[in-house]
Amino acid sequence: MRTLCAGLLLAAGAQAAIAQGPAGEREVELRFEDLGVDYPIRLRTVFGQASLPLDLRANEIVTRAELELRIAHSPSLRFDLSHLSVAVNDQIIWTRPLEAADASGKVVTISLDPLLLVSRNQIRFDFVAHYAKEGECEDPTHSTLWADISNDSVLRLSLRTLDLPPTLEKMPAPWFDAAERGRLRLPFVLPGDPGLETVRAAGIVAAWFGAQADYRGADFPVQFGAAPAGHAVLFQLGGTEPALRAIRNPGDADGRLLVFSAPDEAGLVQLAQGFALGHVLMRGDSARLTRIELPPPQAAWASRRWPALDRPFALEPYLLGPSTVAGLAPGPIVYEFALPPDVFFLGRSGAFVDLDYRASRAGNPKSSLNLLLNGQYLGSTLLDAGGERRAETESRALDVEVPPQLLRGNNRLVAQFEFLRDTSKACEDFRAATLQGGIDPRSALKIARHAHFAEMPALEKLVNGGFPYSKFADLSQTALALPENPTEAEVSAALIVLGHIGRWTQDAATRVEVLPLSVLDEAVDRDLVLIAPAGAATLPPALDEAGVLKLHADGAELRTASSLAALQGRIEGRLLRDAERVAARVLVQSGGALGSLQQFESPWQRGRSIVALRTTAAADPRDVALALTDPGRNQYIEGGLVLVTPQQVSGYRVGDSYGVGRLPWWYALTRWMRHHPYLLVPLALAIALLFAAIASRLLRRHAAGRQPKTGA
Amino acid sequence: MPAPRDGGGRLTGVGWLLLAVLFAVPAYVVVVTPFALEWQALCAVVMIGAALLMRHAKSRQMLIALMVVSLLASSRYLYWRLTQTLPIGPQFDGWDLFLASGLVFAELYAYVILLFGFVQTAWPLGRKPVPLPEDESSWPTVDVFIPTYNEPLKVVRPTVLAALALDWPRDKLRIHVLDDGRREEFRTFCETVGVVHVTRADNKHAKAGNINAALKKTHGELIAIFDCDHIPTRSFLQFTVGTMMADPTVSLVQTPHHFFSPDPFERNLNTFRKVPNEGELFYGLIQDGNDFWDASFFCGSCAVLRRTALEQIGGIATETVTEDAHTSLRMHARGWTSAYINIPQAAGLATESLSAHVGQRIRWARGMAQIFRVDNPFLMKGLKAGQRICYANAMMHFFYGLPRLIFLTSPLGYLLLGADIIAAQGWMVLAYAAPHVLLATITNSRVQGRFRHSFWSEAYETVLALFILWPTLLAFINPRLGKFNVTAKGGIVNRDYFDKDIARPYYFLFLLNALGFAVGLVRFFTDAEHADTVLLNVGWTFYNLLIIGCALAVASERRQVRHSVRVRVRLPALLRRRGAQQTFEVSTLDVSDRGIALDLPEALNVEPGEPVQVVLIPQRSDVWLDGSVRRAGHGMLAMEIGEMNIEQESALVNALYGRADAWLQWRDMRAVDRPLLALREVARFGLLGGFKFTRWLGGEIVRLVSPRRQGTATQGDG
Repeated sequence: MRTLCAGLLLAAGAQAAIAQGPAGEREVELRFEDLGVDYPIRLRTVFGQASLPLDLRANEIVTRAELELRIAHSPSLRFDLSHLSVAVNDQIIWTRPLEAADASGKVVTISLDPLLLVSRNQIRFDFVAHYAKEGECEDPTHSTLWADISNDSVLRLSLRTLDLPPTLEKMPAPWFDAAERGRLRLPFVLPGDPGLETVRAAGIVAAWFGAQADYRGADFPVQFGAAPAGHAVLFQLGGTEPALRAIRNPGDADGRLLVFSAPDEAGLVQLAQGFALGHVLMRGDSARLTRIELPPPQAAWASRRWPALDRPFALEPYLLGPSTVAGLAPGPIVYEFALPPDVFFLGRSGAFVDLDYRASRAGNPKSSLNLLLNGQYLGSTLLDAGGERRAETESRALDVEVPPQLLRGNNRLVAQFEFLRDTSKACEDFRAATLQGGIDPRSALKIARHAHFAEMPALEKLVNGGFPYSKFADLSQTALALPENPTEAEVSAALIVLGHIGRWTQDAATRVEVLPLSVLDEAVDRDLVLIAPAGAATLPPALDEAGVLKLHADGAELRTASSLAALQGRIEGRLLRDAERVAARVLVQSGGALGSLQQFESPWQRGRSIVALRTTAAADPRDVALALTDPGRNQYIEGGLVLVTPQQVSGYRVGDSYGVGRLPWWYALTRWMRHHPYLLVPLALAIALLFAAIASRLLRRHAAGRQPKTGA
Repeated sequence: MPAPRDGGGRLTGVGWLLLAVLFAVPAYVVVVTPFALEWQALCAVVMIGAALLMRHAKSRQMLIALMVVSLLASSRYLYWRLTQTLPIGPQFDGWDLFLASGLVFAELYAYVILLFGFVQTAWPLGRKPVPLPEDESSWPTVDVFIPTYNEPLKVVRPTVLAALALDWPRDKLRIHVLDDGRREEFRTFCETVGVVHVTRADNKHAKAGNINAALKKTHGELIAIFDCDHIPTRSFLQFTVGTMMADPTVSLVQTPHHFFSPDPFERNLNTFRKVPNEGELFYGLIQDGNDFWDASFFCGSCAVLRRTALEQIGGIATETVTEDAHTSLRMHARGWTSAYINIPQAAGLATESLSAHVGQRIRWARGMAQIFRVDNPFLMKGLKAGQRICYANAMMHFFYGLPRLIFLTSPLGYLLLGADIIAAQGWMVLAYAAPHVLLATITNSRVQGRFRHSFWSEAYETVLALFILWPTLLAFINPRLGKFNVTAKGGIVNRDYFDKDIARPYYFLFLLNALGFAVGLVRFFTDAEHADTVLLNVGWTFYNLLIIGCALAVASERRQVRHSVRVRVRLPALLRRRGAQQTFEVSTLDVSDRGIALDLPEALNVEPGEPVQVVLIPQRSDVWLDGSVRRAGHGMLAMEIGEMNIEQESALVNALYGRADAWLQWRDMRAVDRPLLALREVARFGLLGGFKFTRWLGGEIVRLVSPRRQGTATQGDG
């Protein structure tokens, strides 16, 4: 059976067409493509199966459901024996024989019993087909046995929201529901003219929701004062002790508000920390803090997002879907794991995959197991390798070395069994189910010799990994800096950034700090995110000077690298001049509305990174922050400068380079030499001359001792 | 390298460690950092340019700097070679790896030899002889040993006569002819001239046993040993014994072996007294460099040994066929020191034919390999680090057989067999290898230039490589394997011929390389994708062809014209008609033991056949030599010496060989090395050898095809 596994579906943001139906009801039209089916569903062999998952929000029920399938199939089947069935949650709801006339395409509309649909559902397609006439032999994998269901096919749902009493017990629902495959959009409501500690509390909560939303990305619009319609998170000062409540949105009966309230800002922060850590006792619609002390600060890369790299780690916890497959065209066995963005490989290997697999030997000896990493072929083995009759209970090993270039922040390791039917004996009885293969849980992956080091600036590491902030998952080394009196958009940008970082840490951002821009100085020993409007006056001068882009209220100027720096950059593989040229062109074309991200080393501390999110008056800082989470746009974010215009997002490898982390001394030395190749001969000569100066003195003295002692 | 003694005690152990780190860290960076092609190429060019400038500096300090730069370049190449170019991976097969490891082994060997060579020659000591004390009664007693086995008396006579003339108190000097042949003729001669004829009952342990037997019968404090054909100058003991008296720990004073006749290389290539010969590097430079590390060793002849030291180690070592070096090694291990006086104080005949020469070198190579196994200098107790390196280099040097063969055939693996021996792009190999090879050449030219011209080592080694390969390998596996061969001397090559027995291995190498060269050229024009790699290998093959050609040129033996070797030397002489009163002060043009060529005084009118008489060096001698005129005219008189009595013979020997300054100026007459010129010379000989070989081969083929012409074409160079 083929399972269109969830991982595939997750990546694309489902853009469901929504129409407003009768009161409290909405119509949703989901194309299969929106459900993540990127290609037509292909059904093959005498018995082809495919399924697709359908998740529903917890606070909604389906009142009407309709499936519109676009089917095409082989015209050369025995139509008296061939048919297609649809099952919902294993209940057959529809089956029809295939007909020759419809082979080139037919639209079938099937209505579904809404009572069959629960919160997590599976829609399965079974294809049974034959082509051989009576008495003839049939090849169950014959290429004429095919049917395709287009990914243009549509699922129409009428959904009604349930009027459930407000509750915290289903946290994070209803504010975030994992059934939604699109980006989370959750408004945050802050008191008017909020203090930065309130922003900090909101940030801790935003990071937590960012972690829940994970790959979906999260947008946190901010309003000061009143709550908008729908669900929202609300912070307010008041009451006698920190308290968390769920209430109906006064402006929208269907909406629910998550209310954080405390007598003062410190209480709000405490409440947010407790919430993020799970130190709250939720009962019904209210909760209170059970503990206020924080756990000790975390070590680097201690979050559960990252596997421990110092020893081989088992792949089992990273498995998506089943680890055993069967049939002639089995689905892939998929593992997804993340690596810290500053893993710096010191040798020529990146990782070693030690896969233990088992497979039945019913098939052709040429059946194989293929291994792919991030879509790149790694290696394969014949299942019958060796040829000797080995017991099928024994597991066998497939060891593959992975080159470092193939590894990324997020990795997808796919083990694909390719079973071939034994065709040497015609007309032999054959049951596809006898073809079985599986990966043992003890299969492991070892990351090769590496250091934690990153060549900066590298905004792509912020996009893929939240680096450098995510290194300490409680954000004990991170501070956000905002204007003294931030606007809604600026606070929103800050929350989106924290949500993005939270997505990567998967942990409580309890130790993050929010500071006013004006207090920044050398005493602040943290990696910074600055959210600052254009103009020199908003930033301490040292920071304004440090970036390559100077942003004025109505325009920008690019500080170009010196010729020497450009030459040095060329040696290090960074073509500064080219990047500067393109960036300058974009600047000219941008008009007034320009957003930017810059990354540079702190002028005060070596190895500290600063990311400055700045916009001209006509641009929205939210837009820049959202670019981090939008897979369509964030692929262009890289280097030390990113320009965000209404038309495009573009990244440039400009700015002074610096390193974050520590390399082993021997590697650091050779890296320095590689970056200064013109010093090799001078260095060699210096060694030689100095050595000769010392050695010749010593040797001369020794020679004098060897000469005959006259007069002795 | 041992930390040289620290006179002031200023540097503590920590200080030395810091100093080592100070050099080790940047050197590490220079060696291991990989570069892309363009930067490596640029570095190569600049480094070679710097070396070419440093070459001209005269100071020894700059020479050491040059050595360090050369070592850095070579280390960098080798590190790159070992880490980036080994054909390991799925696209290569075991055959590739096998050939590649052979080449890597050869390169590692060459690197170690280069490194040890630099250490060895870092500071040639140039030791001065210590004057003897005024008081002759304090001088030690000396036994002179002249071992002989089967050499004709004719060869031994001059040596004995010259030994008798040594400047030393008569009562403290005893000459012993150690005659393992137990010949009556020798006994008679010894009695006549008044030296001791020593024999023993058996010939056990050959020369070593012979000397050990004589040691038991004599009592002198010092023992001077001369091979029976090494004629000492009269000043030999004056130059050497002072050092032994000044320092009682000195067990050995060695002097160079000097040859006044051309060796086969010099004769066949006609380079006598133009290009430094094979031995000169060793006696001119290496022994002197060894002396700095207190590691100069006994070479079997022309040396003085201390009896107490010899007796302490049980006499001359008998386990190996190079008993001389082995004996020294043992004395050094016991804490005795040695000295080398780089002034030729004895001379002899070089080996006559190439086959004899090869035989001698096989013995040395085998013996050194045996010592490496029996008393490995790295493992032996009691040696200093410098001594270990010097001895090890002396021994490992003789293992060049296999590496040389690998270098001569490696490009063929690629050109003929299509094996990927170096897994790298051709230009990249060039960019890394060029500074390695060129800097080593430049530095060695600067270090050795006076004693060995560039590229000649390749020629010398190539001739011997295939012959010493097997004996060294056998001896390395088991020191007792292989058999002893004696150096035959005094033979004569009386016609030109192509020594095809010696040259046989080189035919095949030459033909293989020629084939590879041709195939390579074809591939260069047809295989555009790998043009750089092909070109690199074709160039390498061409170089190999030249070197093998050289070996073939040496194998083409040239006829020796005279029976006696004439020594070109201008000596003062008195000339007269026999019995006449009128004498003429003239000087000699050349002298041999059979005849003398002199300036012809204008006033003298002689006819061929007329009897004349000559006194050589009349300041010190009044013995008239009788002879007759053979030719006279054009200002030159050639005279044939007639029958001589002992006194006359002694006078001739002393005048010809016995002068203290007899051999001093020989070294200064040579051209200084200029690497490109040397390359041209070697290339010329290579082409010549190739040409001669081809002609000979053509003749052989013609002879095979048409049996009737048999006999006319056997002597290729007739």
